[in-house]
Formats: sequence, structure tokens, C-alpha cells
Amino acid sequence: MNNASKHVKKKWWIIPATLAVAFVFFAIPAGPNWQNYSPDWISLILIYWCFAIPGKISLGSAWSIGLLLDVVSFGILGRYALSKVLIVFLAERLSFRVRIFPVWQQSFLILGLLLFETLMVTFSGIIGGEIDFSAGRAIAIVLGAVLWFPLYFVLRRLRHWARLP
Amino acid sequence: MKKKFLAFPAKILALILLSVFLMFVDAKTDSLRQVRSFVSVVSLPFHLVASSPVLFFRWVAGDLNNWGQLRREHENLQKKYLIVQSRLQQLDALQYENDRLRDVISSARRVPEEALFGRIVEVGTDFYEHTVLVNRGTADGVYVGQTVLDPNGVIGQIIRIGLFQSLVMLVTDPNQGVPVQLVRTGLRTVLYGSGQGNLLSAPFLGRTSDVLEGDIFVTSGLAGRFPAGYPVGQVINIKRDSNAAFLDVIAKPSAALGSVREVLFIWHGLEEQRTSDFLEIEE
Repeated sequence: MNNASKHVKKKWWIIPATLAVAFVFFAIPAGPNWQNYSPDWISLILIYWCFAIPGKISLGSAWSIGLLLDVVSFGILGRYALSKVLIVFLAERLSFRVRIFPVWQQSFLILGLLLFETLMVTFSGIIGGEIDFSAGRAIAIVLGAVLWFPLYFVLRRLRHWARLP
Repeated sequence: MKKKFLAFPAKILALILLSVFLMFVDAKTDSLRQVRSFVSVVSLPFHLVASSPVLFFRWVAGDLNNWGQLRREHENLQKKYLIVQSRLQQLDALQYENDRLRDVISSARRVPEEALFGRIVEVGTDFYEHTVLVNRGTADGVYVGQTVLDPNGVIGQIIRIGLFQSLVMLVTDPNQGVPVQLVRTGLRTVLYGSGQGNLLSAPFLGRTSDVLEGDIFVTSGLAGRFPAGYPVGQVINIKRDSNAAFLDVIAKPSAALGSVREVLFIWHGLEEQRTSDFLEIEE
């Protein structure tokens, strides 16, 4: 990088900011009669930051975010913590290889990751005795993969604006 | 660039084990409840922000009602109010008669029930459960297991509780069974969530049970969880298969689960004494 980047103030707060927005999306209203097709924004945004700036999102913070989600969703503590940690771990591992892929191919990878995470969350539900995998979740996974395309560009724009590597 | 990758295997293993341990502890014991209720206060601002667009939209839409609509609604409500008032008068008389009859058979009186209003905070919670979040918590005195109603019937019971909010499991959740009674015949059974759509099913009615479509189930009060007498569902479909031991009964919940906003929390006195007193009479 050139010397000018040392004088440029980096807005690292943009990372927690995007996660906070994802959090709000996560908590968005879903009526009892209407399936929640909303994809897991938190996962998508975590994956993006793992790809873009590997090593920035630590496993510990992924775990804490997951734990907070557990409390917010009143589910069994540890369920989302586990799945978010695994997602971040896998995303970090893939972050180098993924750079050469065009964005639309990355979507398939995202599909795989989201599917894996949903399966994890469903299976952990077994520990609590609750097994209920609705079709809405399957649609949410596909939707998440599709949304990766625009999301990637939006977040990249934000990343450039924040002067992050 | 930080080289953290080599440290991953140990760290992630530890976090995985920690998560699994947490899940077991939370699923099998109650010890984490205090922790959860404190930490859930953190989530309040997010819930508020998330529900504010919906609340705002409703507020705006409400203000855009024209006068004619408002006037018609007013007239409707007035009529409903008069009807409800007259039935309330009947209720008083029935209550008195009920008390006297119970005195005659030396049975304990019905304890009046206290109620608290609450609202559903329209936030999507876990995708896998039939639950809603309500804006009452331990600060308001509500408790785990408390029955929650809407004007038409039972919505469910509180299963997890925070400081200012709690989680209500709907009657349509397959994991929850409500002890009920058929109004017409007094037949007792249990209604479970059917796991499909938002319907209930009564899986324990024998092939020869006297059940008809349109029959209404009310809470029977058995097991002491739900106070007796509140509507739970109405039968909409019965499949009689001569090869099956049980009927396949599907019911629609009485509560308007799709559109309910205001809810009631009920405190009820212990009425189990009632049944045992009654049995002792015949000596």
C-alpha cells in the first residue's frame, strides 16, 4: 500500500455497524400466520467480512454474536453461538480460494454455507427436543444465496468508503 | 496480516464444546434463566427499532382513515358494547346461581381471576417454534406457565421470561398440549398443535367418540396449568378411518392468532380442590 494510506483514517466501526443493521433485520416482525422467509442476514454479513478482511472477525466475537442471537431469539443458549462460530471458521478457511471466483459463483458457496448452518441449527434443536424444519427456512436459504450478489457489492462499496483493506 | 490460522483447531474445538455444553445446560436445567433475562434487556433496543417501521406504518395508516370509516367503526363498537354489557349482566346472575349451587353440593367456589393487559411485540423469534413475544415480563409480575388469552380464546402459555418481555408458546405449537373439554358433551381430551398451518389436532379421541364438526373445545382446567372454561378451538374436520384406533380431528384455534394484538394475562386461583371435594360428597 502507498504511504498515503497511513494518514487515512479507517472507519473500523463500519463492521459492527453492518452487524447491528443485520441484527435489526433478524428481529424483523413475522406474524404467526406468515412464514419467516427472511434469510439470516447476520450470517451473510459475517461471511462477507470474513472473505474481505480475513482474521478481523475473531472466533470469540462470532461466538458472542451467536450467543446474543440465542438470547434474542429465546432459543436454547448455544445454538446460534455454535452455528456462527462454525460459519466464521469455514468462511475464513475459504476466504483465499474465494477471491478468484466471480460473485455469482460465490453465491453457490454461500448456499452451501447457509444450508450447513441451517442444518446445524435444526440438529441442535434436537437436543432441546424441538424438531421443526419448515419450508420457509429452505426458501430463506435460497433467498440468502441470491441476495449475496447485491449484498456483496453494497458491502464492498461500504468497505471502500470506510477505507478498509 | 495476522497469522491466526494455526491457532484455529484448538480454539474452535473449545468453542464448539462450550456451545454444546451450554445447549445441554439450558435444555435440561433452568439455571441459565436469570442470565438470559438480564441479557435480554440488551435486545430491547433492537426489538424496538425492528418493530418501529411496522408501528409507524400502522400509525400512519390509522391516521389516514376518513371520517365516514371512523364513524361507522364507532357505531359498530357502540353496538358491540351494548351487547357485551347485557351479557355481562347475565354473567353476574349466573355467577350468583353458580355460587349457590356449589354451596349446595359443598364444593369450593370459583376463585375470581385477575387479568393484566399486554401487547404482542411483533418480532419474529425462532423460526422453528410457534411463539410470540409479549411486552410483559418479571417486572410486571407475570410468571412462566401463565395463560395468555385474546378476546376470543386461549393463545398459549408463557414459556420463557425476561425482565420486560416474555415468550409465549402458541397453542398451535406441536410441543404443547392443552387439556380441554367438549362444550356439548363434557368429553375430556387434549389439544395439540398439529404442526401444519395453524391448526390444532385432538389425537386421543377413540374411534367411537361423540365428536361433530363445529364442536367447541374449552379448557378443562385439569393439570392446573390453564384455568377452566376458556375457548381453545373449534372442530373443522374429522376423519373416521375404520382401521385406525383414533379419530383424526382437526380444529381451528378460537383465538385470532393471525391478527391478535392485545392480550390478557390471567392469574387464577387453585381450583384443584374442587374435584376432590366433589368426590367426597357420596359418603
